[in-house]
Amino acid sequence: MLAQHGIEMMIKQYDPIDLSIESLNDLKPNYLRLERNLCQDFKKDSTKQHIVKQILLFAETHNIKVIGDSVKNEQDYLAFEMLGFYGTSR
Amino acid sequence: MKPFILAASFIILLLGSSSGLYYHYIKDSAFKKIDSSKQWLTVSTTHLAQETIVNNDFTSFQSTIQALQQTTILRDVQLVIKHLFFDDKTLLKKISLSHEAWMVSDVTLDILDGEIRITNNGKYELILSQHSQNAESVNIKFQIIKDGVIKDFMIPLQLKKTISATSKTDQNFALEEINENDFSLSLSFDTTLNEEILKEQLYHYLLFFICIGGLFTFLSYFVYRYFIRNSLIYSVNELNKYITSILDGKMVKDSSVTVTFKELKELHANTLELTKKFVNTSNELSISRDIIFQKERSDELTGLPNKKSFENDLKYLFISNKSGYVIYLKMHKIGLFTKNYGPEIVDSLIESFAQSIQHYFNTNKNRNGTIYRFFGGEFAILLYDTIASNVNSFLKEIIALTETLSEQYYFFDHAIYYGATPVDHYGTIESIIQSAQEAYEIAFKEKSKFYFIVDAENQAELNEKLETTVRDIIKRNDFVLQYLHDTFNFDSSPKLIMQEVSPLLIDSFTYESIPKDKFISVAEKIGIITEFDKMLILKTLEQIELGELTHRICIVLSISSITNRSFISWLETTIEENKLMKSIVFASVCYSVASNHESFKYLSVCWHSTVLK
Repeated sequence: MLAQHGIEMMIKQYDPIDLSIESLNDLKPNYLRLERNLCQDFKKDSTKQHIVKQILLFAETHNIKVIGDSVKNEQDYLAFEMLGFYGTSR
Repeated sequence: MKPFILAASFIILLLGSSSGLYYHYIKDSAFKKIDSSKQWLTVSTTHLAQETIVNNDFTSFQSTIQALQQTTILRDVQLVIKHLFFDDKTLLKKISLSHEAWMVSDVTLDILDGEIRITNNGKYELILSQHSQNAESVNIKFQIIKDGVIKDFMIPLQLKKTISATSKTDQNFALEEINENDFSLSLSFDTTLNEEILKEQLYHYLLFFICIGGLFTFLSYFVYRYFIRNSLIYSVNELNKYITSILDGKMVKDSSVTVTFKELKELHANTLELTKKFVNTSNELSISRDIIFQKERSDELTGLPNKKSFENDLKYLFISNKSGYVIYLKMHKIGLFTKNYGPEIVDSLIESFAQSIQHYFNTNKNRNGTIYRFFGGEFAILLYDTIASNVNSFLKEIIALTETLSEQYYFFDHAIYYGATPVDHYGTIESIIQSAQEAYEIAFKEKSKFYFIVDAENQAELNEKLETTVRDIIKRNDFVLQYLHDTFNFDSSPKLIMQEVSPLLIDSFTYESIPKDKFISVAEKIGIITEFDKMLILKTLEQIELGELTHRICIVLSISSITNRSFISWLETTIEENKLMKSIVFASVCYSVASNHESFKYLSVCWHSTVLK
């Protein structure tokens, strides 16, 4: 009903450690705002890169827009742009 | 629908073509039957004519022909005698006398009609003159003699007989002439086909076809419905159960799946292979993920859970509404130790400290808690105990335990201070850590007993005041909106696409700002958060209506509101009344979603359907 009226839902501070990627399948959010910690020093941390790429892969197949949070570093910003983030806060 | 149309077209076509063929067949058969009857009637009639000539008995000939006319296709019959042989017996029979008692003599004929010759075998041969060729009959004169008595007779001998059929129609049929030596026989046959009979046969055929077709269809459907379909559904269900088990993470043995169709068996075999690959890949990924997550949540040096893990556990303490104490501790001389003794010794010290605390928790089952390493010499302990005296005794035991480290590390003497604070359910992670750090600072300054515990009663009093303030703010709808988390897209000139609403909440007594998370915790606890969320939405809508906001606005809703059916109904009504609601994106915090996964799952179903309505 709400979705039919164009009302959208977002999960903020998303971290797959708290909520597995598979769980999103049941919840069908329109947006995911990633946990700040995942977005900061992204380029320096290969683990974060791996996690974020998995999230993006899932989001792409389920039509979910992914938003970054508190991206300070220019390199991280460019990386998010390249990876196809919908937007980000800085 | 298309298969049904095709099937109906096929049946109609089949019925049409088979009817045509069948009609052609019965027509052909009818013609053959007429031919056969004609042949048989011709032979029979010719034979009958021969007998008639011998006996000169047209009465029997007539009755037989009439009987045939009524029952067969035989119509008009004309028998014309050309040569007639007769004997005494024939003549005497005509006058009803016995040939044994009387003798016949002087058999003659009018000269104009012809002559009578006596053959070698004693028979009379009638040779007609040209004049009597078409005569119906001729008169024969003769005498009979017995015991000197002579009698003269003149009897007619019939030469021609025409028997017309009584027909309901005026239709004439062509005469077929059969010329024999002694006679000529003209026959006509009714060769017209009876269309009515043919149509009736066709109708019977169609009825039969429809009945057989219907019966066949019914039987086919019955066999399909109760045997093939059931068997197919059973097999598909078995496969489906198997795949569902795999999806649910349960491995099912191959033999437990029974499939009846060959094709499905092949599909099952392929599915089995696919699921094996899936399970292997899934296991590998799970292991990789667990390693990554473990790395994310643990400290590399000590193996203790890190600050992120601490925050996570604290969140779940809030959500589960459990109580406890947060203890912040710090080796304040760690920098100095590193400088004087090197990082390896200090790392060893930190490891030994971590091990001794962990060992303490493992051996003292009455103490339920976890130690976390934040950074360097900073640690935190989450103690699941609500009694201040127990916390006090715990800290004393920990201090005594750490003193033993001086035996191994001589430079380590009373270098750790502790600050403990009860978990404030109205607080935030930051505020609780800050409270514990403030307690640590007090302990560090006093240096008397190495620890300080925040008074829980004092905190309860403060919380009571806070509850009053929160009630007052919501009652008076006294808050303004501010917008945070400005989110831009990645265009060459980034455009603002989303902001998050954050209420600015001021205590009207102290004029101090109340942290949003704290305010929400209190409102949720005292059961008025749904009212606040409604106010937040309506205030946001007002500002959108004023044209101040053109991008998406994110509103974080509390769990209580999201799982409240009347709130969702209110939301639906508001959406129908106010189209600007489309600009709002409703959000929830990840760990809240994780803790209330089933509720959110149900909400998601309602969100995307009309179930709730």
